[in-house]
Amino acid sequence: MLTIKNLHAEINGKPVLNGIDLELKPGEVHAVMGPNGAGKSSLSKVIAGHPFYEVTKGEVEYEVNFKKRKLLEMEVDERAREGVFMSFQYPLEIPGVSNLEFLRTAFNAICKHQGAPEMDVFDFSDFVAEKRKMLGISEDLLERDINVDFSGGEKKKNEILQMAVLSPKVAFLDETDSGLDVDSLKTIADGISKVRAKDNIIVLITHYHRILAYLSPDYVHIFKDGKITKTGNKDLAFRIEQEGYKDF
Amino acid sequence: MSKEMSRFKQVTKEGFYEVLQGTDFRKNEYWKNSDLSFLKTFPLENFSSPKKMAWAEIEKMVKLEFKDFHPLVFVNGCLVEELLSFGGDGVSVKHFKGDGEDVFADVHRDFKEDEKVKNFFLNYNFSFFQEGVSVELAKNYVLEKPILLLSLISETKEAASNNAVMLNLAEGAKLKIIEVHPNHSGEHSLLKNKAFFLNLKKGAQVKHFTMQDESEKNYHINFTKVSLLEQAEYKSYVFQQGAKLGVSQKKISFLAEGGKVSLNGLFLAQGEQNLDHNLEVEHRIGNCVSEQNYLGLIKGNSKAGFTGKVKVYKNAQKTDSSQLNKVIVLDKTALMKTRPQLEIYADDVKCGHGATVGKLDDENVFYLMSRGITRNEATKTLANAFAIQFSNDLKQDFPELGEWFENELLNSNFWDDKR
Repeated sequence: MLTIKNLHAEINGKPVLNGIDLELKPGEVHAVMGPNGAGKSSLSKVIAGHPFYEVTKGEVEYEVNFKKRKLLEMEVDERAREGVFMSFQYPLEIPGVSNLEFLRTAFNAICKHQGAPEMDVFDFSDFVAEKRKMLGISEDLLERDINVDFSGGEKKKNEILQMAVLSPKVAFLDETDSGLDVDSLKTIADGISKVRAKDNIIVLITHYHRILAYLSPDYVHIFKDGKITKTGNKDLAFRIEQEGYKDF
Repeated sequence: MSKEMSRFKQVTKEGFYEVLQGTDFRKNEYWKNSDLSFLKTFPLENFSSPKKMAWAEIEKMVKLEFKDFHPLVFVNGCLVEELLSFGGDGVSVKHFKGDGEDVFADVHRDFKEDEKVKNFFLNYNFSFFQEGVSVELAKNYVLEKPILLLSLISETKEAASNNAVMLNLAEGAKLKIIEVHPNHSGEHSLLKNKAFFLNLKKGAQVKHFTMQDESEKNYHINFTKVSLLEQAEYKSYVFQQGAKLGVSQKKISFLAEGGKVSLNGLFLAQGEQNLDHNLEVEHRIGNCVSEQNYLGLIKGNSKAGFTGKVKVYKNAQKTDSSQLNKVIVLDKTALMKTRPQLEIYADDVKCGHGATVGKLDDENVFYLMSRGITRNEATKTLANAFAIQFSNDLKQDFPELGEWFENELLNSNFWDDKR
């Protein structure tokens, strides 16, 4: 369970979150919508611990394995090892670092932290192969450097592959559906559905209801000026598609 | 020794001491990035006795996973002649001692009075010259296997070695040279002063790799001068990670049109190390291409320098020159000084330069950490990825070194957290 209480944050002295209250329970899928600059991406970055954001007020309580922890006091990597995941809206290209090796290092860091045995190259390749096929990712993409010369769609799929491999407890997916063709959108939505489970939370940050049609969220939150101005069910997303944000 | 030579040595020796006593190197433009304070107390005399070594013994000292080369082995500054495996038709190898023939007479003649401070160590090399080798390739001769120049130390006391290597390539000749200065983990400080003189005739090609991995108490000075005639090509890759003070200097002169030079470097400086790089490219004539691409990673209290001078003479039209120095500073306590120096007197040229000194990209560190990787591990991964660029380029020209060098890089103690 992740409980966000009165969260305020700023970047370069500019307020971006102005009092967010949100309770996320295992098994739930939440959608976060709102106009550009409303603070949707900022929320996911603050939760993941992005170094450019400063939390000025509020707290985030994270309950994992029946233990409650103050998330904001944890380092970025510790949050990730405890099951917090954020997919990047613009996944970074990192030349010189192999995608597969990066994925294995991350996976093993989490295994080690959770007391599970680490995987060698061969076992890990088999393990990833299954996830990779599910997302229609070619083997070649794993051999290449992280996101280097990937298409927009491949980058997004690679983010979801990371999620599938790391199986987080809370995943914030920041505009994972932006810039995808119809087929890729379906593949990614299928991938997310497969990761979705009774014991994890998925937060979809999106501008479009298309992905929500596939994933059917339990809650839809409307963000405006760094606050949640309305919460409803999935019908809210369809209403926004028709009417826009002016009434929220 | 000829009278002329003997006089030259005497004059340079006197000049050397004069310079040594009269120069505040910290204030000297050319040496300001190198801490030469050790010269006040260091015994400048060479190792006194040559030492012979069998190849089996050498293999125990140096891990070399590549095979098939012509060994050129110096131990304590003296050439191990028994290990020479090349010579004959098209290639001549000559071994010179301090009192031998004056094969370097031309070089000495070119050495100008006003260079005594700037080329201080060359001055020192001339004055205390110990042994040297000259390799000459005949017209269109291609030396198939690379020359492996191994410079080993088997020390018993603090001492110096002053050597020179001359490579003369006739028209269309080609060779590759792999120069390795391994870490011998000795007790005493040593000063290694090496000079290379390369003369490339029309269309000749040299590829030159230098690995400086000296023990951390050592001082290493490495000077290379290259003169190129029409369409001649020189490509160098310098890797510096060892020594207390490591200085790599390259001086390039284009003497005829169509020459091409590519100077690449990677340095990893840590602890109290001081690594300096000094490049000087003279476009004396037009239609030549020069590239400089030096990467560096520094941490701890280390200090590193890069000075890249490009001089384009008035008649050197259509010169194409580029320069890039990218350095990542991993600790706030490390210091990098980068100085691009472009002197352009011709008006129809393409001369680019760029220098960036900064830390690792925060966003990239965040990306890796957001997947559960620790800050230390993320930093190491990204720093290594930066360094790999050099090794990828090296592989293009030295495929035989690819795997060996990648492993050397991966296993460098630079990546250890505590250093």
